[in-house]
Amino acid sequence: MKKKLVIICSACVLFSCNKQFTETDPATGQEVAALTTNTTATCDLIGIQQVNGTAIYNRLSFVKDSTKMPLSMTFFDSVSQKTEKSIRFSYVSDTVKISDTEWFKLNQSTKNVTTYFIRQYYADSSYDDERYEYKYDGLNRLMNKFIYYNGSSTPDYIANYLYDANNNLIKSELLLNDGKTKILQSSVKYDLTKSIKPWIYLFGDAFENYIYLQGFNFGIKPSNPVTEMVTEIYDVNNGSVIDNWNTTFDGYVISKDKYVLQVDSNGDLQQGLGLFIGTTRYSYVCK
Amino acid sequence: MRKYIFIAIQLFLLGSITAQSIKRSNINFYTTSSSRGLLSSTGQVSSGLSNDSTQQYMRGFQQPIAYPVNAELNYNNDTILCPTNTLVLKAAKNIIYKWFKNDTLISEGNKDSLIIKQPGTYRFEASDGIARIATSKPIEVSHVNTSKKAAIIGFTVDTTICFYDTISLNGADISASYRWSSGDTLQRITASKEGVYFIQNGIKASNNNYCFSDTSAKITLRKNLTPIPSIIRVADNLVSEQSVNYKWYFNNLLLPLDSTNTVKIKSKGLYQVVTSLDNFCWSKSADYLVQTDPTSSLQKDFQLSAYPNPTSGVFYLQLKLDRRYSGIVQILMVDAAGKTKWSFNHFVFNDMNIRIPFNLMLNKGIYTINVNVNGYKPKAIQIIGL
Repeated sequence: MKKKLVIICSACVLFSCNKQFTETDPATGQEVAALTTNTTATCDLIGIQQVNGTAIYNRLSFVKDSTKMPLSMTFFDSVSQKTEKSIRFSYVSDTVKISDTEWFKLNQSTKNVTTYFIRQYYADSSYDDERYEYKYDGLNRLMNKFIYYNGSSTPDYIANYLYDANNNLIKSELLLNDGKTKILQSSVKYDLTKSIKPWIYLFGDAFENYIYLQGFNFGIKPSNPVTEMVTEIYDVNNGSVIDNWNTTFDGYVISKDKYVLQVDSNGDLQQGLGLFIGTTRYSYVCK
Repeated sequence: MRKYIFIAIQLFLLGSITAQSIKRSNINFYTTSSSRGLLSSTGQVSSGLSNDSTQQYMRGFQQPIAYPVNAELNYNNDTILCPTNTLVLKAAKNIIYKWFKNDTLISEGNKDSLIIKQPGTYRFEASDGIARIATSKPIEVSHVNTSKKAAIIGFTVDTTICFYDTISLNGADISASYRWSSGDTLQRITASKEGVYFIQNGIKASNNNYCFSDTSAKITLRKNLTPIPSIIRVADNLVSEQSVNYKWYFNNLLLPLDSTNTVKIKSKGLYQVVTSLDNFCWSKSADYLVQTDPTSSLQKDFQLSAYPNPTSGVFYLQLKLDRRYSGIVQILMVDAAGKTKWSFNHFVFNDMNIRIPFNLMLNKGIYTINVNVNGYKPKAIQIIGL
């Protein structure tokens, strides 16, 4: 009996019982093809949708211009069956205006987001002005995020990002303004045996704008598929863990030219990423 | 014949004197119409004769007067002055002195010294009271520029500030020397005593003297006797140590209505309190992060939905609030018989669109999920298990 079990397990390894990667696209039942036959073309992510078989739930989609900058964004909610968010981005110089109280600033050469501003209202109509400053290194990696409330000249919160040798993000930490007290820490693991084309950002603390995160440039994206993400929330007063979110990623469907088309996330929702829950599919435009 | 002999002797004498005059004329001199003796610029007397004096000699056959007119000027090489200092010019012993500033006569008489405060070119002329005059070498007297006011970094006007044990004060300018009101002479000082502090910058004058600039703004230091407060959370209030005066801040904005040692938590975010015993010196707490929203008696409505529903496997609960929320969402799932199937608390981190995955394999039947969010009406939704 024990011998039979070993044989079955070995067969699973050999014949991909492991559902980490699949070569057949569940959406089509066909072998996964390349997104483009044009070898000089690159493909840019323009859509994310949560699916269940043929059912489509939430859909986030971007329309981008020839420089791959978003012109508009829509978010369709499957429960209410309506488009819950529809935004047309207006570009003036280095500013991307979302509304009078929400905008981005971009680095003109890299197109990376350098500032995000939003006015957050309370129930009593008072509000906070929140400003996020993003800092990149020479390798185009987002290294820090500084968060300022209500015009403060010193940051109220600081986020640091750590990368591996492949420039994959492996740790995000959100700290109090003393630069030491941890509020949140997110760790990411990858399958380094598989390489992928630029896919998504995995900043576990992107609460401020995760709905825009995958449409704009925040530096380099991971080049290997994520397999696990663990986020811990800390009680800043005693350092204990308030909550943790454990998520594994498998069931990858990757095109022949290495673009991720689908992935299953299991376990908790990574709230800092917001959108990735259950099975999600990705669409691209290639130019 | 005797007459011719007399004329011849006179011509001989005249020729002799003229030859002597020419012989000594290599000395640097100048003459005035009234002078009888000639003075070198160093004040040494020479006995070269002018035409007038020649005529006098010729008229009276007098011998030259050997009175030593002396134009030596003693000023101790102190020619670069601090604006508030004076310099005494002292002339060598003579009879009459004329003092000049910028070639303009400013004093005449028997005073052999001159006290000066102003910059300029000074000299004197001395005479023996008869006819001989000596003039001194001119000296240039200048002032050190001390008009630039000294400064302490961070302070441009007179200020009173509070400090705890010590405070560092730093002169703003690089200077040859420093003079603090405390007597210190370094650019940076660490003050530990109450009092008035200011600095002057020293600028080098002649003879290794220093002139000091105008004083900086005056800093009055007061010891802050208010201890640094700390904050603790008690239920939905924040409490600081007892003091006399309180100011509370939320996300860097003053909460104008909160002036006691307790403040009701408005929302998650950063709080600070500053307290004072004397309403002058204030002490600021460290930032206190409120991570969960306070209990709210508000009973607002929120949207609760689930998908897919009916379901045979994983399903998702979706909550939509009207504002970002941080805190616990209580979830209780019961079956049709009212038996608890699952109960847990879900922590929400600053979000208003909350989705919670349920990795359950539900048996066939109807289940009710009760959701309780602080500040909102409790809600329930039915899930159909296939």
